[in-house]
Amino acid sequence: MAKPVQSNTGSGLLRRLASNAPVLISGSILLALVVIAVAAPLLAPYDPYAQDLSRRLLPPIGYAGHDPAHFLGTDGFGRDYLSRLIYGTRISLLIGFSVVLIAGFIGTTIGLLAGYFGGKVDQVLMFVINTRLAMPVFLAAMAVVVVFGASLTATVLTLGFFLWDRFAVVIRSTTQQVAAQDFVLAARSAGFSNTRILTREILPNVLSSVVVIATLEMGSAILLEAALSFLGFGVQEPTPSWGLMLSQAREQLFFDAWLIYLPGLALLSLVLAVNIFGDGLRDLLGARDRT
Amino acid sequence: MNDTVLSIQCLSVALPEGADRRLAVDDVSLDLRKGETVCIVGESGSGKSITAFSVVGLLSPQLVPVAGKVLFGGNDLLKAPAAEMRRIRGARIAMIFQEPMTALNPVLRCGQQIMEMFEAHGLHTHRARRARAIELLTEVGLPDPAKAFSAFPHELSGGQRQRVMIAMALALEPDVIIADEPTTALDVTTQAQILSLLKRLRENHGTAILFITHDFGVVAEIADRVAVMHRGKVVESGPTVDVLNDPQEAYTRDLLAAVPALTPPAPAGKPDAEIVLSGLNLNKTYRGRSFFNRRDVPALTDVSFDLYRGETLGIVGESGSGKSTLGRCLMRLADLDAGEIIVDGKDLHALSERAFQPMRKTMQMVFQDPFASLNPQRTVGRIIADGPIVHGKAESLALAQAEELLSFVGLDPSSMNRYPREFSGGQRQRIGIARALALEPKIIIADEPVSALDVSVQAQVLKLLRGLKVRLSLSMIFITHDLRVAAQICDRVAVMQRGRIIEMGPTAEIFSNPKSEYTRALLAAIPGQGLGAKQAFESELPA
Repeated sequence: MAKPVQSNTGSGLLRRLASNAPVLISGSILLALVVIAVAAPLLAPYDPYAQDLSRRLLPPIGYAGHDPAHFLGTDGFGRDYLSRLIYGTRISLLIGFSVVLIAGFIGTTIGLLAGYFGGKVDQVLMFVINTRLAMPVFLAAMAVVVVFGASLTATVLTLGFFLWDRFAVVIRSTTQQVAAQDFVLAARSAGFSNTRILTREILPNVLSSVVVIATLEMGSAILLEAALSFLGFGVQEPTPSWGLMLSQAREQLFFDAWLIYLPGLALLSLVLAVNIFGDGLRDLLGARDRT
Repeated sequence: MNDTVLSIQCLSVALPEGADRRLAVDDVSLDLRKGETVCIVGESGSGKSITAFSVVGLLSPQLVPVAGKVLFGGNDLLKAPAAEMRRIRGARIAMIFQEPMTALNPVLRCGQQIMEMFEAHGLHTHRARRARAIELLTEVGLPDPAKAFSAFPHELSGGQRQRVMIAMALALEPDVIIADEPTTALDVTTQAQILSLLKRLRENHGTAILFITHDFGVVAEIADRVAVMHRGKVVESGPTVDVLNDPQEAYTRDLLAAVPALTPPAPAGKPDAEIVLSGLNLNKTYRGRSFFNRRDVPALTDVSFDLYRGETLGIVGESGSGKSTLGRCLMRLADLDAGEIIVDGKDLHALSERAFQPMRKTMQMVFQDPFASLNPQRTVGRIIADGPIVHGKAESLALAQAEELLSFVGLDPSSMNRYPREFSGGQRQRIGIARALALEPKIIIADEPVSALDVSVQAQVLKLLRGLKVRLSLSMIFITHDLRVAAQICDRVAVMQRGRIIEMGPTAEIFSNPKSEYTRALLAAIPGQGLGAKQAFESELPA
């Protein structure tokens, strides 16, 4: 009896993960941020909505006039800045995950169908993709807000329905490559239905691409939310969103710069971590899929 | 007398950590004399290509020569600085690669690519380069050198592209040409032409050729001396005649014994009269779809044949003959334009897709590429059981059957939960066969099932297929370009050329007494005719 020539390499991915410093570091930062978001009520020293107008614009630690009761100071309404930053993590991650979930579903479906069926289906779907690419996300999002009003839900839905293009384009071409392989022919010759071929044979083989695009799109979703909120078209007061915090700090830019750079740094570290993680994941998964 | 031009001495090349062995090339010594062809022959992973690539310093960075010397013109090439190596490569040691389509730049005209050889080494004026390029294209036997000069690689056939590659290698009159499987991607008749071209050039120019191949037939045709490599070591070397006729080492003997003989074995039993499948006037044309390319390519023209129960019908032909299209049309993986495929009295071609679906069970396919034909993300057990499950078998039963099938094709049934990447090419091909058998088909269509395998593995898989055929009284359509393989496994053979069956009959008859000109040419082109004749395919498992 012939035995397999290699041992099971299932743990190989974990081992490579552990030896990849950028993925490890960015992954730990992401994990920490997720923990912060989930445990926000336990970690935040104050209620992020509680105003105290007598204690407005207290500077963070290290500045003259710092109040030890507020580690990172207070904003223009006297709300604890650290608490608002901690709760802001929730908004950013919520937006990131849910937008990517919606966009990933739409884009992957379109990409799979276009890549697998080809021909007319592909032509129609490519037209849809091109139409979407011709629409500026930002202007479209603003138009939606004007019609339906600004809210967290509206922001998630709009971004979700606009950020699927990269999923569709990449998954379409990956699907074309996978569908050209003999195992798909084998599935057809065994009489598998198209649905089964798409979900069982092809989808698992394009999933690593989906995951990688998801991380990269998550970064841009978070940034877009911040930008929309900054302009007043996204999440509305008094919800603690980093974008909104930036927007409110705008008038204080020359007097209390920390109001800008604290949420700015938070945003930078989250998006950078997400992107580096996605990049590293691409290398790791790519290496695994090369048999 | 010292006419040694290249001398590899005790060369060792290390593999990266975690590979299956420490050294890719282990203490290899080899001399190449002026005007001589030396073949390094071995199976995949034997280190034959790595040996060749270390000579020209083109190893991938993970592979490091750790010991030995490569002496050329008094210098050790392993120690030569990069600039020195650039001067030597192309000018004094040239290379020919396996796949001429990818080794040529697709966006440059062939003539320009030859001229680049002179340009890179700062030789000649533009006008002289051009004249010399045309001269070279003439010398390598291209029928219309001026046309070939201005052609892009994709406008030429595989054999013509390989001639352009050879012209490039010859351009600077090198002392040594390293040819890495230069005929493996070519049809057998083209291969014969390229081999005779290389022989002629070696005589005219006195160039030494280091020829890498896996094919003992090619060795017999071209080599003066041969070195057999196995797991990084040269296990045997010497003059070709001696090594092929009187191999000293067991490994060489095994390899030679695995080369299928050209004489078909005597028919095992009497043929069955029951027809399980007939094709009637099958026609298929690939139409140029795009606006600019409306050229139609006929792939099948009036192909008719009967397949009897329990027989293996070989479909042989060169690339583009339509043999693979025939297999796909029979499986309805490609659509016929016209014709009837009759199984159980029903015309499969006329059935709707829905009505055909349950019929798919009767015919199953074994594919060529053992790497692409198994879904890398599904376990072996699932891959085998999926078919029966789709056709309504209970999952537990299907998995139990998959386990049985695995041991049936000679694999450990405990491999059920492993993934295809953990198996070698030959093992994967066994999994592919188990998958085809899972639906209990009456007919197996095997499309080049052993072409991607090493010769020793090939012999095992062929043996498995013959045994299965007898035990399960399967009928098989065996598509292959390799007449040696066809001789060993087919009861009858149909020879295809340009979409037509030009000759069909019992294998022994076709091989001993071919009627058509084309079949005769095909048979004559097989390299190393005498090889493998001594070896008898032992009779198969009892029914």
